[in-house]
Amino acid sequence: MGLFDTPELRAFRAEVRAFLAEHLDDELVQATRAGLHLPRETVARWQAALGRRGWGAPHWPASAGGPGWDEARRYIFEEETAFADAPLGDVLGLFLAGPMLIAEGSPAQRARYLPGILHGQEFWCQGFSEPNAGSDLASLKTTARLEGDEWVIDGQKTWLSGGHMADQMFLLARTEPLGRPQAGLSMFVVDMRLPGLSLQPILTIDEGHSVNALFIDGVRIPAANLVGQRGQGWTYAKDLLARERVNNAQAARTKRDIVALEQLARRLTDDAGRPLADDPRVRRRLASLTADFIALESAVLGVVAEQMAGREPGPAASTLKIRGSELQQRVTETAMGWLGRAGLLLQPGYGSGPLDEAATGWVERHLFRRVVTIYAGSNEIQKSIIAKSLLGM
Amino acid sequence: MDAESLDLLLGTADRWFAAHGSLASRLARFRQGHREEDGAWAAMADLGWLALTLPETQEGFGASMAQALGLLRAAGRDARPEPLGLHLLLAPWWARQRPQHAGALASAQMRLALADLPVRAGLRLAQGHVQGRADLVMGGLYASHVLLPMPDAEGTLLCVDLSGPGVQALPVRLLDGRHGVRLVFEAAPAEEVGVGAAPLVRDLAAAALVADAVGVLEAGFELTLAYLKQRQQFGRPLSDQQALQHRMAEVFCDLQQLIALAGRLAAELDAQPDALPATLPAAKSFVGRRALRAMGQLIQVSGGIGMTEEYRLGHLYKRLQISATLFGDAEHQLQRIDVRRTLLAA
Repeated sequence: MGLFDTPELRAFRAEVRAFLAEHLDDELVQATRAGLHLPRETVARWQAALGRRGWGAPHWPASAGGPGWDEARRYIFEEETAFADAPLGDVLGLFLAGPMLIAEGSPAQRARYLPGILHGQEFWCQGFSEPNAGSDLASLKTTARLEGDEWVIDGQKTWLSGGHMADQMFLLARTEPLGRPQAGLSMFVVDMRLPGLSLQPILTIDEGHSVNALFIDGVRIPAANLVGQRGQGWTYAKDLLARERVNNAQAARTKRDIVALEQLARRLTDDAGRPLADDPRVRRRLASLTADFIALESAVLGVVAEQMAGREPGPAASTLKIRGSELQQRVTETAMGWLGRAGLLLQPGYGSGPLDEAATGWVERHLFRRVVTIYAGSNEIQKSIIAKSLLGM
Repeated sequence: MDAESLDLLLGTADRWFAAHGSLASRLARFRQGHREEDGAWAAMADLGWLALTLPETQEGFGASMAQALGLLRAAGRDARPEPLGLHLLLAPWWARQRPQHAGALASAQMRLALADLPVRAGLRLAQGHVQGRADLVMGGLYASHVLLPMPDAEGTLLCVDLSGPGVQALPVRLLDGRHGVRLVFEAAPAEEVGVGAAPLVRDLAAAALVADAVGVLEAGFELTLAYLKQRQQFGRPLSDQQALQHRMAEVFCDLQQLIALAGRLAAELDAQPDALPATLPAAKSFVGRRALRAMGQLIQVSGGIGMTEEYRLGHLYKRLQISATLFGDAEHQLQRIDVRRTLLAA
């Protein structure tokens, strides 16, 4: 705890703990422990409690409704909520849509959308990827054309996390058909209840439903739903993705996972009945995960400090995304190895999770986390960003 | 079995797998469960597969394990739910213990399952009756008999008739959706099958999983390779990206080594059918250490589609995870490797 061991920060930690003790009820904790994809009501109830306390979005500037914390407080908050097994908020609203609107949105847009995010009243999804534009985001084909005072949008989007729970979508669409692929894109806000939108669930290998495909057929939105400047969508999207990468490191939640892994090692026994935690190889594995975590955390804190000072993280955030996502996978792979047979047995009903309570959560996370090195710009894309933008290769 | 007959049989197998619910067609129904096809065992008996590894003196085809590997690889490629590998590996051994059962094995009247029990499982044997439970049973869903390796130093193996008294079967699914059963025994009559047999049948089952893993990794590799060649990003196929080329080349190395290991394992089983195959620990640990990681890489280079339930890759990954874990995971198999004995034996 060396880094945060000052009287002020100890007092702050105590304040957060007191809040959690009062507001984080058992139902929220159980839902977070058991499920990978939480129902909207659970997330909304917790977000509303945070919003009432003024802690709805610790990473937002105070002018936009943030609590005005420094990076140490922000990190302590993330750590305490992770260790208390508090639900994650609506990541798409809090970490993607919100900061993008704060940076690029009009005063009217900020006034309309930010409070709903802070208080868990409106959920968001992201309309970026398309069936033929994944890693190659710039080649997307969805179009928006201006007709009078409305934009008319046609196309198809995919991998909409939480799309089935969302009220609003931020959408990247082509407004200028000519020129470089990156040049003709614009960013919009689209109400998910509009006619012409149809969602289709995509089930993932963990037997869960969190992502969706979206068909957009002549959807009309007011001209005022354009975010920032027409044709600047690519720049906004790049900044948004860089911010997302800092969050993708998921440092505090990974710390929580490693502690849970250590508990698992004490709970499971080897063939001779000894706790796995007594096995030197198991201890060494835990130690190396911990050391790699400390390296990740150190780097995250550096970038978060930059962010809190008002600077965008830029390409350096790619290092956090790569190492953070790899570590998340290694943690659950380790758990699966230790669980052995218990990680292979599922309840009879589809999507109802493992049979053995010790395996609950680990199996689903292990499978779903194959995605963390793919989403938000695959790690191959991140490596190209580092090579090109930082190394001049 | 001569080479021509084997080619004929493998050709039939590919057509039969395609006609009886290819993996792609079965995936659509996995939410309802990945069950063995009705009549599959009878069909496999008619095709002669169940007699494939039985000796000609017992009305079998006398195929070697090396030959049977071809069929198992095909079954693995298609992620078949029926435990054909377990049958082909165990049948000749069982027919040596119980020659009178050879006909029943060939006709699918007798279908063997094998429990993977932790060493400290609570199974107890008293006066010919077994008490306790077996959670993980390979091939348990449609089996007529289950083999239980007992957790004792002697390597006792029991056989329980599943239609007999004192046996309760509870439904369960495996990680990849295959349906199975957990067995609960309450004073179920159990027959002892040769003292010291338990380690051998476990290794035979592990060898079947290695053979299955060959087909599974191969299917995942080919699916991904075709996808990378077809999928366009940045104005060219993904297969033009050097980073992905190198990744695929690495998986190819893993696949070739796994094929070689499985072949060597089969040759050992042919040479000494009643001895623990020396290559098994290396081959089985390879599945957990390298093949599983390779399959994870295939998901990675495929991108989002590799995460979806309707695509074959994720299913193959989960099946491989099962093969890597059952009957001795990588860590367990590595502990069995004695460096000096392994390297200096010749």
